[in-house]
Amino acid sequence: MKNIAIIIGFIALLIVASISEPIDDAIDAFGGATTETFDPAIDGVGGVSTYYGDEDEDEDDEDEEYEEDELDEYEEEDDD
Amino acid sequence: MLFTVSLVIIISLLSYIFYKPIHKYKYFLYVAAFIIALILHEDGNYITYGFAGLSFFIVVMFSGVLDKSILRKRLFMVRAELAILGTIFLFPHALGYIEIVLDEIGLLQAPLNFYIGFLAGVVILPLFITSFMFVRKKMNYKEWKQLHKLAYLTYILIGLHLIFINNDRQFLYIVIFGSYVVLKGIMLLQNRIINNKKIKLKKDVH
Repeated sequence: MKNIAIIIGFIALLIVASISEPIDDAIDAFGGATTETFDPAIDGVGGVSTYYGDEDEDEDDEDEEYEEDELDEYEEEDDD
Repeated sequence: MLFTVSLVIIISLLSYIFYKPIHKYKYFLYVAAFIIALILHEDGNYITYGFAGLSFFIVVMFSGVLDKSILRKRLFMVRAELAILGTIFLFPHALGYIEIVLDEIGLLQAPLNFYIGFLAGVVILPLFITSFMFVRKKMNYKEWKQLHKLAYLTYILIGLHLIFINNDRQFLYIVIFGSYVVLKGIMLLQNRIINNKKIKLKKDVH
């Protein structure tokens, strides 16, 4: 009786997990991606980029600088 | 949880069908698991997140609360093997997070679930070593049995470690470890009732 209850319990758990957890999240976890479902809280504390967003603003600055340089080059070409 | 529960079911089925080869070729399996763990220990993946090890431990845990049956008998035959394989898969998880905490966070600033997990790792280690048959044979059975009662502490610590991660799966962890505690409680109660009946019968006979 208890054995059947345990087996049914795990099958129910499988159904609940498949409903609550997007299949993509589970597949991503195999590849090592941190997703909303696989949320090792320690990643966030450790400074690893999480789904909360990348807090590193330097990358944006670099993009802006690059865009400015590109514009300067275009302007110089126009002057010629 | 989808893959963890699937893995639990797959491990149980494989253990039920192939309990003899698993027992016979256990050292090949340990070496294979060790190589897999070694190859995959660098990146974040299903093994380094600790879910592969967890799946093995769930099978080991729940095999202990099954009623007497062929399923229980066969799972018990490979219980030590499953526990050893689970621990091998937990090594990359434990070492990876210890490295993160020491390098990035600092030992005193880690989240609570890290310390609980670390404690679980400390308790698992002697159980892991003494689960190997050649070590077990060198020990007194009573001593060995007494030591392996620490497995219950390990289950509690693993459960708390997972619950305190405080993520979307918290409810499922509570259901899994909560139901284990309830089932174990029922089992202990049943055993006590049976033992009391036996003692009463003996007294009546005398």
